[in-house]
Amino acid sequence: MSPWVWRPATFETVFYMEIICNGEVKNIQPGTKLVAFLENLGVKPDTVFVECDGVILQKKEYDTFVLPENARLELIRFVGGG
Amino acid sequence: MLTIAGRTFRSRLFGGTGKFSSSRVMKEALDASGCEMVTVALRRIDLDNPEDDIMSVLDRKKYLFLPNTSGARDADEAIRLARLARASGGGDWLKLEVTPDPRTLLPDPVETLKATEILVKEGFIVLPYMNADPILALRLQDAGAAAVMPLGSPIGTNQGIMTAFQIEIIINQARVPVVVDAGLGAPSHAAQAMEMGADAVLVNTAIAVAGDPVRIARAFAMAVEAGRDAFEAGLGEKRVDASASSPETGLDFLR
Repeated sequence: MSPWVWRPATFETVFYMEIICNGEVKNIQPGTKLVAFLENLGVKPDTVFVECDGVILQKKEYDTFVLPENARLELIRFVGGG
Repeated sequence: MLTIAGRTFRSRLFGGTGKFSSSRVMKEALDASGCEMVTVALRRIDLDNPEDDIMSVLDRKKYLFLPNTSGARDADEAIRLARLARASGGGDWLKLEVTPDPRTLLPDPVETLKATEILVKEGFIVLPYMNADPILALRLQDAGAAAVMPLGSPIGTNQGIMTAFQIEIIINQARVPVVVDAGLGAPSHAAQAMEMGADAVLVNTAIAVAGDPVRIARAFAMAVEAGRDAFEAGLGEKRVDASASSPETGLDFLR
């Protein structure tokens, strides 16, 4: 969309921001903590390892880590392999 | 008993967890195999299926997880995967795998050595998957690898030990355990590796894709034990000329 088109402030533009999670765009509220984001996705926090903008987060940080705008989040887990 | 990096293993068969038709079959096959160490891979969560956690069926008290760096095409990617694996709380054990060519999945020796040097300094217990190159095995050992894992044949091919000559040299000069990995397609291949003096074998595909994975897992366990017993017993020497098993004397009455 052209940046010159006037848009009124909407619920989305004011209260939501984008992050990229496993390559997909996700809209979240500013201030969302990682643990809440994971639970909302249906992911049990203790089954996942998280990299945010290339930095690995420690499990104990999950409860307090606030997702920054435009964060690139990778949710990784162990899968079967040889 | 087999010892790697100070940890002892009763079973000389290591299992893989890929390619099983279900997590139930995987669990039963691994139980039947008697193995104590299993490889696992790291992948993105499937956001459409976030509950899908096949590792939840495996008891981490029973099995030592050996995370692999499968999918890494260079040392940097492997190191990133290694650090993620460690952040999981799974310990420092790592099967280092750097396979730039998806067609052959042959390991890159230069990147594997480079990653081994870095990861050993970071405190990882590195078991590098490698081509059956005796000089590379020495280099990896010198770099601090806890064991070396030469391939029998390319991953998932079930071709058996195509590299017997080189693996024998590796075994003869190794100061760290030698784990023959990849390509072992039948219990007889595993037995062959053990008879040659390998310290252990790692089997995934041959068990996972068999008609009855649980039963073949048991067969692999027996083959590994048989092969190890044979090696420790000491095999008779190979020779060219025949040597009669029955006495050659006492035949005077015939002629």
